[in-house]
Amino acid sequence: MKNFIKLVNFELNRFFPIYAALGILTIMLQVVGVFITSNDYIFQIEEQTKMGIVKESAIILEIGQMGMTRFTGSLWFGGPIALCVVTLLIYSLFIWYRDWFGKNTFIYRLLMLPTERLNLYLSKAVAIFLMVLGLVALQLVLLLVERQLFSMLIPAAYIKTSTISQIILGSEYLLVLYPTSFIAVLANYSRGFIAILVLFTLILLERSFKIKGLLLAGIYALATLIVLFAPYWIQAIFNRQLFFTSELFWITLALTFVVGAVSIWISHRLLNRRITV
Amino acid sequence: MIEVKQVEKRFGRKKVLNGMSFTANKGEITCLIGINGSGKTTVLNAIMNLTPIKRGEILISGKPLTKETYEKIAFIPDAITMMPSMTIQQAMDFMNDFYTTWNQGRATEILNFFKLSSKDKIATLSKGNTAKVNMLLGLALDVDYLLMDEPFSGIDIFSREQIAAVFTSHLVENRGVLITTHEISDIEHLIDKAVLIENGKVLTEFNAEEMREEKGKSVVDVMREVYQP
Amino acid sequence: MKKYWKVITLVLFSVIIISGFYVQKALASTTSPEYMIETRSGDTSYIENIVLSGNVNNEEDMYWDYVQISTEGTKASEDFSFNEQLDYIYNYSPEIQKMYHEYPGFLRSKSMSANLYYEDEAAIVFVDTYIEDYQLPYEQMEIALLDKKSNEETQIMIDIPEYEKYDDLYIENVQKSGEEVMIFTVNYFNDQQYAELHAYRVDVATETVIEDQIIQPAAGEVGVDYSSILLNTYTGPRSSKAEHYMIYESSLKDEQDVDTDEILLSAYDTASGNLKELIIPSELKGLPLYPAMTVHESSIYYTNAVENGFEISRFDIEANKVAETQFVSLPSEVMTNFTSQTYYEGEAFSTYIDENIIYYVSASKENSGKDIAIVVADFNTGKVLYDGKIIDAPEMNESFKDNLLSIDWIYFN
Repeated sequence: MKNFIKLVNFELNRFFPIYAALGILTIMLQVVGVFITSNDYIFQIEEQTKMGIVKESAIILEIGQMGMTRFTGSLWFGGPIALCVVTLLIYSLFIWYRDWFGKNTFIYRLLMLPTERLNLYLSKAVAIFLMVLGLVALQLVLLLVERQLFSMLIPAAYIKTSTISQIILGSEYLLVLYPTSFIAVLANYSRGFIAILVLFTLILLERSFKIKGLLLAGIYALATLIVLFAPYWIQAIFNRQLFFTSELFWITLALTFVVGAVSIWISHRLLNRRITV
Repeated sequence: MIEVKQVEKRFGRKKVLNGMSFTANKGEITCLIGINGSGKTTVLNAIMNLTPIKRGEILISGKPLTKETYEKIAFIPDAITMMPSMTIQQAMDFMNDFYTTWNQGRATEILNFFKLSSKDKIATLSKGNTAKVNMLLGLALDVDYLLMDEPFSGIDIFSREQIAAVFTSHLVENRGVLITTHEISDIEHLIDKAVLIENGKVLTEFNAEEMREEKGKSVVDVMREVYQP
Repeated sequence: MKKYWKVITLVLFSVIIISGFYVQKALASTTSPEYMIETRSGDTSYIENIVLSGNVNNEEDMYWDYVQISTEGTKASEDFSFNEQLDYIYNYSPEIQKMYHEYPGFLRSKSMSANLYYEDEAAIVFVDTYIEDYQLPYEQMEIALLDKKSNEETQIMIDIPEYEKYDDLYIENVQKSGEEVMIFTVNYFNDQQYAELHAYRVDVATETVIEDQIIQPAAGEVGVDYSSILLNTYTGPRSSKAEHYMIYESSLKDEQDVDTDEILLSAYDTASGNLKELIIPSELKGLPLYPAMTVHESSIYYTNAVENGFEISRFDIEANKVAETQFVSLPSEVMTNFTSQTYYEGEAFSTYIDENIIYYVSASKENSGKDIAIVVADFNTGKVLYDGKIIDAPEMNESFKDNLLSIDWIYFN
C-alpha cells in the first residue's frame, strides 16, 4: 500500500510541470474570455445607445440580458477544456510508452521494484484520474470567479443572475462534468476510471505481445464494447425495449465494473508473466 | 545460488534460449560468454522476470522469483534504469525510497570513488559516467546477487579500469555476480566461472582457475576450441 | 511527508471543492421553482388532495422543467428519485406513474402512453400496434391484460381487419367491458390523405375481432375532409380510465368559422357497442372544442367562461338532451384568467369533475398578469366552494420568477 502511494506521488510529480501549465493556461484563457465577452456585450449596449435606445429595459429587450451562457458557449471557455482533455488522453498512452522509448529504459526499474507489479498499473491510473479531478475542481472554482468577474464588469441591470447549477445546465460540457444527481457523478467518474483501466490493459497487451498484442488489444477492445452494450444488443434482437432506462443504467454500470475487474485481472497476469522489456 | 534450468524462449521464429542451463554461485563471479545474439542478455532479463520464458525454471536461492526477491538480487542492464531528467541525487533518493536494502553510505562511497557529483543530471553525463551511475544503482543495494549486462561495452579505457577495480573490492565480496560480456580480455583474471554460450545453449561451463592450473588453458583458449573447432 | 505535498493538495482540493458543491446543492432548497397556492375564498379542504401537473419554461434560457404543485409544495423533476428521473416518469399521466410503482412488470417493454391503457379496479389492459421489422402497414395489434388480483398477464395478438387498406393506424383509446376489449383508432389511408375512425371490439377468449365499426368514414373527396375527433381524449388529460360513452365530434377540417349545423356528435356506448347521434343545441355546439367540453360518466359538461362567471350545461347522453344548467358567479378579476386567452391558441383551462363538484384550473401564469386560478364549484347549487391562485412561494429563487408556468391537468392524490 505504501509503495502504491509512493508510485502515485512519483507519477504525479513527473507530469506536474505540464499539468500545472494546463491549469494556468485554462485560467488565463477563460479569464481573457470573460473580458472579451464582457466587452462585446458592452459594445452592443453602446450601439443601442447610439441608435437612440437609452432605457435599460428597452436595450435588454433588443439584445437580451448578459447570461453566463454567452460565455460558456464560446471557444474561450470550451477550448481550454478540450485542450486539457486531449492532453490527458494523450498522456494516458504516453505514461506507459515514455518508460519504454526514447533514452529511457525506466521500465526496467519499475518492473524491478520490490512491489506488486499491479501497483504500477493502478498507480498510473490513479494518477491520471486525480489529475482529471483536479481540473474538474478547478473549473468549478473558475465558474465562481468568472461569475463574480461578470458582475463587476457589467452593470447590474443587464446581468442575468444564475446559480452555479443553472450555469451548468446551460452548457453541454458542464453537464457532463457535473451531472445533476450525485449518483450520476459516481457512475460517470467510475466509468471514466474504468475506461483508463481498459486502455492500460490494451497498452499492456501490445507491450507484452507486440504485433500479436495489437491484435489481441483490438479483440479485447471489441469484447469490452460488446459486453457493455450487451443489453442494447439483446433489445435489438428482440426488437423491443426490454429494460426500463433506469434498469439499463444499473445493468450497464454493473457490466462496466465487471469489465474493470477483468481488465485488472488481465493486466495483473500480463505484468507478472508476459510483460517484456 | 542462481539456477537456470532448461530455459527456452522464442522471439518470433528464433529460439533465443534453447534449453539453457547453468548455475551461478554466491561468492563467485560467473561470466556468461557468447557473441551478440547468443542469448546472454535475454537470460539475464529472464532471471529478473523482465521477459517471460516458455519452458524451464529459474530459481534464486532455491526459490522462484517474487517481489521480495528484488531486494536480494540487483540487475545492472546495458542502459541506465533511471529517468535522464533526474539528477544523481534524485535517482539515489528514489532507490532509497523504494528499497529497504539501499545503502546510502555505500552509495556515497561509490559516488566518490567514481568521482561523480550528485547534482549532475543523468542526461548530461558521458557514456562512461552514465555506466558508472548505473553500476552505482546496483552496487549500493545490499543484495546477495548482482547481474550485470555488458558492463564494459562502449566505455573508455579509464572508466573501464575503474569499473574493473570494483570487482576486486569489498563492494563485490561475498556476493554472487553474474556478468555477461563478449570482451573477455578485460576481466579474464577476475572471473571464477565461465559459461560459454552459443545459439541459446550452454556449450560448456568451467572454473577458470582450475582450467588454468589443471589444463593450462586460459578462458580464451577454451573459447577458441569451442567456438572455432 | 513534505514531498507528498502535490498529491495531498490535489486530493484535498478536488475532494473538498467537488463534494462541497454537491453538498451545498443538496442543502439548497431553491434549485428549482417553488410555488404555492394562495386562497382568495372558500374551504381549503377541497384542494388538499389535488395535484396540478404542468411545466415551467423560459425561452431565453432554453429552460424547461416539469412541475407538480399541491398544497404540500412544488415537486420538480429533480425531486423525483434517480430512477424515476431516468425513466422520465413525470412525462406520463398520473395513472401511468402509479402503474410504474405498483405494476412495473406489466409496464416492461411497453409504451407508456396513457391512451394505450385501460384501468379499472380489477384489471389493466394495454393495446398497441405490432410491427415486425418496421414493415408498415400494421397487420396486427397486441393486447396485454393484467389481472390485478392474481398478477397474471395474458398476451394475445389480433389481426387487423383489412389491414392492407391502411397506411398507418393510431390508437386513441382503449376500453374494456366484460370479456371484450374495445380499441378506438384513427386509420389513415391513401397516402395519409384520408382518415377513418374505427371502434374495434375484441373477444379476448377467442382472440378475434368480433366487430369493426366505422364511426366516421373519410369524406372521400380530396380537399374536403372531415376532422373527426374523439372528445374524451381531446378535452381532458390523457387518461386510462373507464368511460361509459366515447363521444365523437366531426366537422369540416381547417375551418375557423364553423357552421354549427355541420357539427355532428355521436356517442358510442362501450357496454353495448351501439352508436347513437346526439342532439346538441347549436349554442353549445358553437362553443370552441376545448376546454369547454368534458365527458364525465353519462354526461357531457359544457362550460363557457364569461366575464362574471361560468355558464355550465350538463347534457345527459342517455336522455339525449340538456338536463341541467348552472351559473357559477365569480368576480371578473378571477374570470379574466379563464377568458383572456383565445381558445384557438390553446387550452384556457383544465376541468375535473368529481360527482357534482367541478374543478377549473386556468392554463397559464405569465408575466403579463395572467395567473393560474383554481375554482371549485358545486354544480348542483352553483356555489363557489373554493377559489384561489398559484403564486411564487417566498423561497422562490430570483432566477425562476419570470418563467412561464402552464398547467396541463389536475389529478387527485
